[in-house]
Amino acid sequence: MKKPDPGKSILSANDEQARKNLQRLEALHLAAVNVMASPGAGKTSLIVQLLKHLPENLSRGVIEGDVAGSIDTDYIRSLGFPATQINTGGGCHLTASMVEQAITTLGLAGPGLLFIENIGNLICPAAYRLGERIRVLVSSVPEGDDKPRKYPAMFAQVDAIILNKIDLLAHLDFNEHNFQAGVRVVNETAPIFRVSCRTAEGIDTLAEWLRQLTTTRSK
Amino acid sequence: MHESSIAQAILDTALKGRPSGNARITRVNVVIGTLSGVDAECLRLYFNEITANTPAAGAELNVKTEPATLICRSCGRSTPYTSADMLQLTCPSCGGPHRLEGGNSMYIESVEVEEP
Repeated sequence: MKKPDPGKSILSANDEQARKNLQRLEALHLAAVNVMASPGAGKTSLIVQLLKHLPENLSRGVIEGDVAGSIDTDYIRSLGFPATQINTGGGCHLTASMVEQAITTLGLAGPGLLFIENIGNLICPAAYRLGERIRVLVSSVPEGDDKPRKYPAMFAQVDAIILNKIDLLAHLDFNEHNFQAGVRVVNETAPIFRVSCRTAEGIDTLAEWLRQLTTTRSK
Repeated sequence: MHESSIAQAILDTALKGRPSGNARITRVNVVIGTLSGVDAECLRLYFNEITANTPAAGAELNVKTEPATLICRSCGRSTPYTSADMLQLTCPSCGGPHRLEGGNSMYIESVEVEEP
């Protein structure tokens, strides 16, 4: 019996494609933002608000991931922004090779930001790099303040956490202290942005933080 | 669905790592972190399905679960954490804030093969 060492990470093929995507996006002067959340947290609403609030001189586009349909892509296009749809047909996360094709289809060139809206899911998307510069997680007030403790891997592996629907704080029993304490157990450094996509509160601050990505290159 | 693509990636990597094209895979040993979001039983189920009619048919998938570690930022007390545990925000000894480390591994430790 022999025991060859076949090499390390199980997802190395995806990781390798993600590295290629990142290089390609860097060459296009695009910083990609992998937007992850549970279904209904407000990923599309957030992306739409950011598209509207980012400076006009930045190119902006969206790769939309959904199990089925093109509701969000149609909506974003109707607002005048470029968007392309990936349908996973039941798949619970996007992969780097899906995104590779979508970059070609979208045909966006920078300098600017490319939003990649992942499948609504707080588990699997965390494991798959797509070629993004940063990963953000949208968590919303109605989901409850316990989410960082229930889905620690997702909260641990993102560069920023966006608490959405803060306009509902007055109506729901959401304890922000618990939420922040939970986040800090698993993620010491990610900034937490408080926003309401309904009222646009906090969007300018987040848009400015993202804009700064376009002035730097990937490490 | 997640486990099906992980199982496929394990099979692909194991097949590529064989010393020769005739080698039959008898066992694959993988390490899966408790925070990786992979269910071991579900992974084995998919692995058994997709290995049929491949050189890994009948191979055993041995899954070793790697825990994460909760560390107190004040006193340094460390305790293993698995996803079945309640994620405590503060240290039971001193009340200091916890931080969670590790538990993200997902790799093939070794592949056992038989050559004809």
